[in-house]
Amino acid sequence: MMGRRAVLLITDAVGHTYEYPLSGHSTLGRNTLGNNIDIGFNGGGVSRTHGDVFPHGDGYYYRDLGSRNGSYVNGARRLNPMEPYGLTHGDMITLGSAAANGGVGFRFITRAANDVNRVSAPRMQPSPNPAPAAPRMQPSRNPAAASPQGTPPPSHGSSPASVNVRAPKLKVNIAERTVQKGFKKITLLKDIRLTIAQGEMVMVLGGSGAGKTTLMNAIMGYERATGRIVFGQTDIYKEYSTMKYRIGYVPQQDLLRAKDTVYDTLRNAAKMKMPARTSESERRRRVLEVLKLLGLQRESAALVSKLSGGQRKRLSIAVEYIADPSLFFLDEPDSGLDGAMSKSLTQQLRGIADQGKIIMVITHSPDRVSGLYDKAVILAKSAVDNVGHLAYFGSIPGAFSFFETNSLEGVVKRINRADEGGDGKSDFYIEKYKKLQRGGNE
Amino acid sequence: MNSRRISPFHEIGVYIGKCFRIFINEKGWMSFFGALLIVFIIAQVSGEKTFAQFSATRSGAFAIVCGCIWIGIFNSIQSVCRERAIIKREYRTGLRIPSYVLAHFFYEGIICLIQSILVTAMFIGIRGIPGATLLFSPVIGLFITFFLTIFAADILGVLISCIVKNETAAMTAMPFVLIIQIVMCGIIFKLDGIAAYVANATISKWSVVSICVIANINSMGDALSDYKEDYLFTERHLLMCWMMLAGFILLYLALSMIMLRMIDKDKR
Repeated sequence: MMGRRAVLLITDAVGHTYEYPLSGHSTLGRNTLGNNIDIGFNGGGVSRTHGDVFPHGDGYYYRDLGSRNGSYVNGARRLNPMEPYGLTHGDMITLGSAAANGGVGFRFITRAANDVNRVSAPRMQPSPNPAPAAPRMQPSRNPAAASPQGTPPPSHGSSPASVNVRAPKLKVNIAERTVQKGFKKITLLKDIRLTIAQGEMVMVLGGSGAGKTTLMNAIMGYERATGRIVFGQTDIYKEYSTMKYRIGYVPQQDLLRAKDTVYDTLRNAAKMKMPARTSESERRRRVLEVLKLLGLQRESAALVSKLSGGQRKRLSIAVEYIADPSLFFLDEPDSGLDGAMSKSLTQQLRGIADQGKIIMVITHSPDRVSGLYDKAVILAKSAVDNVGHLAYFGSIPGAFSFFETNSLEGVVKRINRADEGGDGKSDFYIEKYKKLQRGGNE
Repeated sequence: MNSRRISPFHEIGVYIGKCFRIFINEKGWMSFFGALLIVFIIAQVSGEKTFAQFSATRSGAFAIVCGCIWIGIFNSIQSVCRERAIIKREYRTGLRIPSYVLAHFFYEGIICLIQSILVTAMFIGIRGIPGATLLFSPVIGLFITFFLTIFAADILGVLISCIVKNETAAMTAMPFVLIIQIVMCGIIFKLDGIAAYVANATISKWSVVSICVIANINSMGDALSDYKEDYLFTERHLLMCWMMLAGFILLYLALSMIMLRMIDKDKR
């Protein structure tokens, strides 16, 4: 950005646009009395301290500071909290979704240092009608000052330890997962390597005992494996105490208190899982938003014990989703559901994935909804060492081609043991996949 | 510190609220009728000479204490183990075990308070008020004793519930706990040697002694000299009994927190 200056074109709740020249660290948040931020907005869905913009190296970065409604890039991708996003000329950052906020936010613009022509609309004119107060603009604070979150922005010129301008991926590298039974060490999983990108929904398939739940627990950090699980730049095992708040897990059984209401169950989950500084009204809004997303508004006053199986499953998902986790794991969420409910549930999960989440789902009914998934992890238990191995990881059409079948049930049949009604070819496909990986095609 | 976490104080508040909501939704108040029925039966059986004669007072005290222990343990023995899988899940996502146990502690305390009021009112309504004042009026003294007894038994129930893994195991353990309280309190059998020391670890012994002290049992015509030291009509003696009961409450509370932390080791 040599010889250029950075400007934010700010759009407020009433549609006015004006310029805010950047000269250091600036915080954005709700325009309320006593709220010490640099740029204030009046949109109802803007959090008190929604995000900040700070310089680093030659550029500027935007960071969502754990806002309730999130921050969106160019109208589509929701940013992960606390992960800096490198701003490029023309990027539009919306504070909260358009539905929540009416689209308040800013556009990042760079201009030549001597360019005096304004790209934006004229500065806001006073309205003849009573209007919300104009967003405040204050001189930006000392960029070396700590951010409201207590995390100082990287200083100029230093190598950013925490900046990651690319969407974080989940990288799984498990050498083995073992358990001790008496004096014997038993290996459950071996050599699992895969990478999942943000926004991908991945199904986990495999025969009974192949290690699907073990794999998921190892990735989440509940059960440590020998290896490394990295999300973005964060080692999940090393930083589990903080990462666990960004991981949602929906177990197979619905672990809900039967004599609590749907609304109170979610309200408590919000209080326990959302950032402590979230206001009561923001939590309430989030609860209503999640109820709506998962189709539970009409049941909000009902006791959990009165819900149908599908409703309980959706509530289980809602309890985890309320904290807006980046990683979402579900163990057979469609078990006990009929085809239509299963499809509806998976479509809702697809919608969650499309908000930039990584979702992994163990399912035993894959063909009903395979079109909604991006990739499949196929685990197979080797007949040689009785250990779960990776038999395939990739797209669903790729799986059909790899296993020479046209259905995912057919894939599972290939790798199941003969005495379980399968073809008993688990070792064949494990080796085939290893060769494929060595060949570098994946 | 992770700025995302709610404080332990708020966590306790969340779970207390949950306990009370479930109490209402499950019609938990019906347990108060059970407590009244138990005390009614015991008061009828204990006889008119309760608070008038030494042996009748001692027997009546023993019976009502057993009733209070029963009420207390039944309040809570399934309360934690029935949602063990839920607690495990919540623990893995950040629930503080001490906050959870303390929430139950405060919730059970309020339930026990209400039950103590009902038990006191029913018992003295049928059996009358003992005629001695020590520290407090006899009615207040009995109320405090019943409350400490029910609450101590309640928290013992919480402890058992934190140890066992399911409701079946809890109900299997309960008779053994009750047997110890009944047999080892030193009323049915005079205990010597090691058994006498074990008796000191029972809720029932200190509760029975408290009631007998409040009733000034040593002043009754047929008082037995063998027990004079056990039932000294002094403030110090009464306070010591109450302190022992309070000590049990705190001990069971601490052990509950320790035992429930092992929930992470539950097999899948």
